[in-house]
Parts: sequence; structure tokens; C-alpha cells
Amino acid sequence: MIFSLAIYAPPSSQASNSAYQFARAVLEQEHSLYRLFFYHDGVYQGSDLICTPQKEFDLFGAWKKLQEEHEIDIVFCIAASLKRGMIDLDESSRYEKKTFNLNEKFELSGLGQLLDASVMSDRIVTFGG
Amino acid sequence: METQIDSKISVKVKKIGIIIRHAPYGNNFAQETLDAILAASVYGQILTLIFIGDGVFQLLKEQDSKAIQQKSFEKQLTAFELYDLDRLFICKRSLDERGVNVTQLSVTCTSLDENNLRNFLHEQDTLLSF
Repeated sequence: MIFSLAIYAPPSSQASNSAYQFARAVLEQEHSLYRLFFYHDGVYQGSDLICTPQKEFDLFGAWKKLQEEHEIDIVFCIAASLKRGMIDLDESSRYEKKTFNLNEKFELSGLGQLLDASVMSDRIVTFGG
Repeated sequence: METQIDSKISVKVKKIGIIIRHAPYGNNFAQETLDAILAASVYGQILTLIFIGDGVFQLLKEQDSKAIQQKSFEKQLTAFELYDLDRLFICKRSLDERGVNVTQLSVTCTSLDENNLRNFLHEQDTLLSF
């Protein structure tokens, strides 16, 4: 079965962790993940500036690793991200900001990608909100 | 990139049920949900909206959100028709629990009891929950 996840929960929410565990379970059971779409406060999960204390689970690192291992399409809603100060190098130049913070493994794109995920997947599972 | 997405989507047309669960103000969740619905409306899919739980408050008449510098949901929802978003349903139980009746709503919605709601959800190819 083809799954996509819509992740609305911020990093501080347990729902984010559940999303990660669900994503792992999907792959372990040999289903496929078409896309992870981060929206609402979920976009805070893409910040390269997140520094997780040593004894805590590094969710940001875990998403990155999942992307590297399985080449998952991880998309952050561009409108929600810009509003919350989550920007990549291109947007940083466009808006004349001094820096950028979205990790390069993650892509900024439009809401059409969420609809595309619901059309192309058998199930879209929501976390948070 | 956009054309690629468009051509992929045009191949498949799905019945997508959009579940709206959040109250209109207090945080921007509901506003971003409306943004997502309007964006989704241009891809030629069959979208149907169902308001459940506190989501029913989005439909109330006579909203005045000026004092909190927010856009009015009433105005935005009445514009849904322009986007061909005219398949609107509302959960009867959610209305009853909140003491709201359909005459207090700004947009015409079909109210569904639990059986019809279950059937509605079952008939959709995909559900997108907000």
C-alpha cells in the first residue's frame, strides 16, 4: 500500500514522534511512502538549528536519516514555512535575509504537493492538529 | 515542476473528503486549512467538505473578526462557491452538542446523522483531515 503522511505537529508534540514511528513501520512492513508533507506548526521540524540534548531522542536527525536511507520525498509547505521563519537559501536571497535554516534534505514547495500526495497515495495519515 | 504535478493529477480523479475539525480563531490552524482547501480546489479533483466538532463554529453567521486583526471566516466561506466548493456537509451531532442549528450558519450545508456520516466517509477515495 502507498502511504503519505501529513504532519501538522510541532517538534515538541508527541504526535511528531508518532509520525516518525509510523513512517518507520510503513517501510518495515514493505509498504511505500510516497511523501511526507509538513504543514502548520509541523514545519518547525525542518530547522537545521535544532540542537537536541544528548539524552533526548533526536527527531530532526531521525527524519534526516530516514530521508538519506530511503530517499523519501520530504516536502515543507512554502507558505506555512515562510510565515514561521523557516527558509532555504533561495528564499533567503529572495527576501534579503541574512541567513537560512531549512535543512538541504528537505524541500520547500506548494500546497499542491499535499493534494498530489492524496491523489497518488492509497492512504494519507495525519499527525497533530 | 508545476506542470508535472498537474499532468500527473489530471490522469486520476479521486473523491477526496476534507475533514474540518478546528474552531475558526485562537490560532491560525483553521485559516491555513482554508488556504489548503482553496489551493486544492484548482486540480480538478472531487472535493467534499465535512465540518465536524469545533469545525462547525467556522460556519456561524455574523462573525466580526476585525478587533483581532483576522480575516472573517464567514466572508471566506461564502466565497467557496466561486471555487466550485459546493459539496458541504456538517455533522449533526456536533451541531447538537454545541447548541447550534442550521439556520445560524452562513453557508448552506447538508447535515448528516451518524449513519450518513459513516456512509459519506466510506464513499470517499481518500480522506484529508485538518
